[in-house]
Amino acid sequence: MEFLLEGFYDVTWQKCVMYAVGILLIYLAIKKQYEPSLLLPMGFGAILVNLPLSGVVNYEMSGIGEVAGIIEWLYDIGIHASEAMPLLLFIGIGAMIDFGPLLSNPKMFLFGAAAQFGIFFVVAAAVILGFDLKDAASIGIIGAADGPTSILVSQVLKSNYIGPIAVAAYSYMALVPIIQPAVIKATTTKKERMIRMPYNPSNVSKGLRIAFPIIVTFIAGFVAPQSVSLVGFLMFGNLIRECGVLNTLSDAAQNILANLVTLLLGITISFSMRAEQFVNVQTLLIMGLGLVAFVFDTAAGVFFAKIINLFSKNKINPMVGAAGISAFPMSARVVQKLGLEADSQNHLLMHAVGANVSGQIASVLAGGMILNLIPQMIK
Amino acid sequence: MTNFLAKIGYFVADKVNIQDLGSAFKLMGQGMLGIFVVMAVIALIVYLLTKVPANK
Repeated sequence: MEFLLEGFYDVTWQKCVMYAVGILLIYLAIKKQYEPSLLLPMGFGAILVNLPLSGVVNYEMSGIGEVAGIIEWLYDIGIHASEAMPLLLFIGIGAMIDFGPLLSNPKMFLFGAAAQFGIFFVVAAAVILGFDLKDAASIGIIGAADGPTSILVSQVLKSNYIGPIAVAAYSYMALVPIIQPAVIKATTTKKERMIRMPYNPSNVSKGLRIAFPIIVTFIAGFVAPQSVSLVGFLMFGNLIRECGVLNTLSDAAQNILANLVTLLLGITISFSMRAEQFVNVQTLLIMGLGLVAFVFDTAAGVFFAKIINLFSKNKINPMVGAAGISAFPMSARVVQKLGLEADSQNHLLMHAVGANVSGQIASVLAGGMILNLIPQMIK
Repeated sequence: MTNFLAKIGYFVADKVNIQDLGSAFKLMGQGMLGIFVVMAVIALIVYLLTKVPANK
C-alpha cells in the first residue's frame, strides 16, 4: 500500500504555500470578483501544477520514459514557442475597443503616453533591488496594466519570473478601483477634481475609423518593429470591428475567441507558478514593484494633466490623466466616480474613456519599445 | 544625514549593477520619448484627418 502514500511524501512547504495562493486567487475571483476570468483559472492551475507528481506537467514514468503533461504542453505551444495565446487575445481586445471617444479628441493620445511612466520607473527600481536588466524590464511592464502585454514581453525576454509577473499584472488590474482613487486623492485637490470638462464630440467618420488601425500599425511598425505583433493584432481586431462587412467575425473575436483564449491562458500561465519557481523573496519584491508601477502610472498621468493646464486655456481635470493607464474600462469608471463624488454634475466618463483607450495603444507601444531597446542594451 | 547618504552610496556601489542602472535610465528616457513622439504623430494625423471632411 506504499504507493498510495507516494504523493504525501512529495509535499513540501513551498507546495503548501502554492495551494494557499491558488485558493486565495480562487477566493478573490469568486468572492471579490477580481478579474475572475483569469484569476480563477490561474488559481486552479496553481493547485494543479503543484500537486505531488502532477500529471499536468511533463514527468518521468519508470520503464516508460517521459510522459507529456497537458498544461506544460499548452504552455510550450501557446506561450513559449509562439506567444500565440496573448497575441490571439489581442485580436479579441481590439475588436472590443471603440476608439471613437479618442478619435474625437486626439489630444487624449498624450495622456496614454504619460501614464506609462510607472513602467520605466519600476525598471530602474528593480535594477536597484538586484534584478538584471531583462528581468527588471519584464517586471516594469506590469505597469502596462495589460496582462497579455506583460506575459508576452516577459516571455520574449526569457524572464525567470513570468508567473509572478502575470499574477501581479492581473491582480493589480483588478485592484485598480482601490489603488487609483487613493493615488488620485493624494495628488489632486478637491478643487482640481471639480474641474468640469464639456464634452463636444466631433463627428468621427467611418473612413477615419477604418483608416485609424491601419495608420497606427504602419507608424508602430516603422518606429518599433518588435511591437508589430502586439499592435498589429490589436489593430487587426479593431479593423474587423470597424470595417462593417465582417460583423460575424467581429462578434466571434469579441466573444468566442476572447473567451476561449482567456479560458486557456489563465490555466496555461499557471505552469509558471510551480512552487520551486514561485515561492521566493523575488516574488514578494515583484508584487511590491507591480504596485509601485501602478501608483507611478497614475501619478504621472495626473501630473501630466496639471502641466498641460499650465499652458492651456481650457482646463483639464487632472483625474483624466490617471485614466491613461491601460486598465480598460475600470480606470475610466474610477475617474467618472471620483468626478461625481467631487461634484454631482461633473461627468468625465467620455474624456476618461478617450484617455483609457489611448492607454491601450500606449501600453502596447511601451512593450514594443522595451523589446526594441533592451536587446540593444544587453548585447 | 551625510552618513545616511554615504550608506546609500555604498549600497548602490556594492550591490547594484551600475551599468544596468545606467541602461535602465537610458531606457526610461528613450522609451518615454519614443512613446510620446509616436502618440503625438498619431494624434496629429488623426487631427488632420478629422479636418479633411470639414474642408470639403
